[in-house]
Amino acid sequence: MKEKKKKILIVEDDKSLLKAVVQRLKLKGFDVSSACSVEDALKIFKTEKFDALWLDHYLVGKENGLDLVVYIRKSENNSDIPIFVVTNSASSGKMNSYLKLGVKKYYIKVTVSLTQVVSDIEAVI
Amino acid sequence: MHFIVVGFLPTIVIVFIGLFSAEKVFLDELEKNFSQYVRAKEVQVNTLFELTESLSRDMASNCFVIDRLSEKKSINIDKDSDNNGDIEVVENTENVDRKLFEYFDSKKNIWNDFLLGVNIMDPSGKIVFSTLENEVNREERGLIDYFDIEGVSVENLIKTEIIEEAGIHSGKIIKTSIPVFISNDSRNIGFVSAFYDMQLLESYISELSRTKKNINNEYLDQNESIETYIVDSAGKIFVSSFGNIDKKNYFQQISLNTYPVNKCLQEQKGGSGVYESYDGRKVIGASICFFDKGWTLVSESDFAIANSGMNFLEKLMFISVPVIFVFLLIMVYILTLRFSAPIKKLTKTAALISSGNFGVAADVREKNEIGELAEAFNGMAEKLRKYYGYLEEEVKKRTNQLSEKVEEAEKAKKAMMNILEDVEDEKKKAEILAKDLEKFMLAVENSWELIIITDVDGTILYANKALERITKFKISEVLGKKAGTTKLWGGLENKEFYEKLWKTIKIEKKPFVGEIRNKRKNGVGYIALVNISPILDKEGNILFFVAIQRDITLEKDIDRTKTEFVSLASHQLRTPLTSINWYLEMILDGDAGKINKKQEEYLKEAKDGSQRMSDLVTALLNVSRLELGTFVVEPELVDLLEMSESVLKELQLQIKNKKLKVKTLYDKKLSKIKVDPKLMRIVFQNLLSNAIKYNSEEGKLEVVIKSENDNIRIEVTDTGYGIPEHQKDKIFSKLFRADNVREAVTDGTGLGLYIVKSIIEQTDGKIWFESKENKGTKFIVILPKSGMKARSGVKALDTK
Repeated sequence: MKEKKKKILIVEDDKSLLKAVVQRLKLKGFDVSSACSVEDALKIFKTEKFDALWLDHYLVGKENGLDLVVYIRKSENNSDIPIFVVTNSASSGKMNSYLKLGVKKYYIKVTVSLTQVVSDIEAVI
Repeated sequence: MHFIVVGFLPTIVIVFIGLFSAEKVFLDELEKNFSQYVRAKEVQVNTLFELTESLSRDMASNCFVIDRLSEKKSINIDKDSDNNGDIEVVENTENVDRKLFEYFDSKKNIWNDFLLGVNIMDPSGKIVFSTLENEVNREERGLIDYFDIEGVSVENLIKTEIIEEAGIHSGKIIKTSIPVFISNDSRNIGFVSAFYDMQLLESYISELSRTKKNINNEYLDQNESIETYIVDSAGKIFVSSFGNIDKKNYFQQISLNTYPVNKCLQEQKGGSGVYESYDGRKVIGASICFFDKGWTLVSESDFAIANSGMNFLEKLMFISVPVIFVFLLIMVYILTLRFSAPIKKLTKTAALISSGNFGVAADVREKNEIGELAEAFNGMAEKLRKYYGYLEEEVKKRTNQLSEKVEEAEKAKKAMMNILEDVEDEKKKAEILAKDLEKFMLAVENSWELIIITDVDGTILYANKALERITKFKISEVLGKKAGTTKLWGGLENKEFYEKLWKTIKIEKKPFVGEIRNKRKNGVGYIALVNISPILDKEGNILFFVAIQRDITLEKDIDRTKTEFVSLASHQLRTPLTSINWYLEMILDGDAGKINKKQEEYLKEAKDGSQRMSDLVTALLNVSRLELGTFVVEPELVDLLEMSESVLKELQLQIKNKKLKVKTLYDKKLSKIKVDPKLMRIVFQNLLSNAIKYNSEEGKLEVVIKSENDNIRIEVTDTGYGIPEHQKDKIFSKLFRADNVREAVTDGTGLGLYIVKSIIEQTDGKIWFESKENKGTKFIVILPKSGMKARSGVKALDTK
């Protein structure tokens, strides 16, 4: 029997990085969707349910990752989706805000390996 | 001795002169007395004769007398007369005579027998009436001759004479004759003669015998040797003071022409002196001249007798004076001998004393005034000596004092001169100083930095020109106000900051150096680098504060911009770096297909490079955060021992690769410390990774964590390359790699120690090292047990 694939939404505005992540996750057997802005992400969230969220902080548009988390937490479905923030921003304030909102993990992109994040996600979902 | 002879002669002369003078004086006195006496007599005699004359005049003008004469006058009535030729009926002659007798008797009675008798004569001189017997009808021719002077009225003429008329009286009597006139007729009708007793006159003259006063000569008085008598114009003495009969008879016979008599008769004057008397005796006396009668009143005394007393005196003196004189001389001589000797002694002594020799004393031991004098003299000499000695002492003392004072004055003068010199020097210095000060003044005034001088309470005393440029306040606005208050440019930092500032400068009396956020007058903030230094006096009391502010806003800005740029750049670099990392990771993991060994090798190199770049970027970001002060400190209770172990575990691979021996010395009792775990981790990571990186193969790595007073001491020791001496001071600088390890150790950012030092020092800790080249290095970190203070920043520092 074929296991249903886990659905992950990647919200990342850098095309290069997005491509890399998507490839890796696909390879690892995830059903991957992507968005590059909060707006897009919310659109997708309306129609689909996801098992995890890979979230960057700085996104296209006015709103950033934190805003999205707020939305998610307020939404009906996906409100308790495990969120993995992968950003280059080392602001402790940001980190605390995310953590307060219950994100699973907060990574600095440049210092973390894809393998690490993927394995963490696999462990959770 | 000769002086006695010399003194003797003049003395005798003087004596004799004296004697003679005395004699003369004596005689003069006597003469004067005689003169006075005779003058007194004169008065008496005159008075007497005035009396007789006035009486006679009375009688001559008596009506009875006139009646008598006018009755019996001759028949020759001059028909030429003015009367009418009436012949007056006259009374009976007898009646008239009777009346006359009564009249004259009464007169006689009144005058006490002084009036002896009266004759009335007719103009021819025939006595027609008389109170005396046998006088009537006698003729007196002499009268007419006397009174008949051609052409001159004889009315007032009166004749007074001394006669001897035995029928009237024995002895001499005074006769006063006076013509009678009818009142309104100038014709002489007769004469009246009155006879008076001489007794009164005699009594005047011989008054001497009764009184002693006049001459005042006892000798003379007792012998009755003063004679007073009156000589008539014929030179006959008619009255005298000698009462005896023999003398009177003698007088009747002689006629005087002695000196006084002659003087009177010839010169009509009285006189006095020494002359020959009527009997040739030398007499001394005086006389009065009644020149109208030609009488001389003389009062004289025997010269010899008068002089006799004097002679006695004279003799006495003649003898006694020389005797006395000689006696005196002898006395004097003796006395001189007696006294001159001691006096000579005294004189000699006095001379000696006056020449300064006070030690002498006069050797005079008389028991008299001289002796007393000598005693007194000696006493005085003694006193003088003492006094002189005292004086000498005093003089010495004073001289010493004076010379001391002079010395002192000299010293003082020298000191003064020195002081003046010093003053001059100081003055010159001051001038130089003033010039320098001017320079300083100008320098301070024109300094680019704001320089403020305040008093011990922070009140602004001075601010330079830069004030306005930096704070926008005018100097006048700030003088007298407290520096750095909210009213002026302060208030942007927190309370603790200002408290710390004030504590440092006022209580610790140390300069405060640091960055401070201030605001300009318009409220715009700026950053200043301040240096506030207390200026102390010798006792360490604060006199003023000097605050220097440099507006470093721009530099800060620039710095911030740089750092922000670094931060931004670093940040921006992260994305492409991430991309490189992940793609390389994917390739290496075989996501894109199998890779050969060579490919793997090259790709690994690329990944390493990329990793290094990532580390560098992280480090740069941390550095920029550290520099910007924007890193956060969130202290938690951390078990350092745990952390140390954790980090060591992380580095296990490297430790194993180098085959290092790890030794840990942990104080097990060490309590947790409140530190920011992220920062602390960076510290451990850096120190430990360095200790591994720079260690020798199979070297030792020792980690000590223990308590030390109020601190925790962490020591990380390796036995590696060590740090060269000349580069020890650069170890903590950014991107520094020591020469001896540059080739050996190529990885690492070169920022690690800088970051560690920054973290440690910005959290009140200390870090230093001990190292010897080729021996090893020991890094020591001291952390206060009070831990790190929380600080809200912007970013956390990144760990790798």
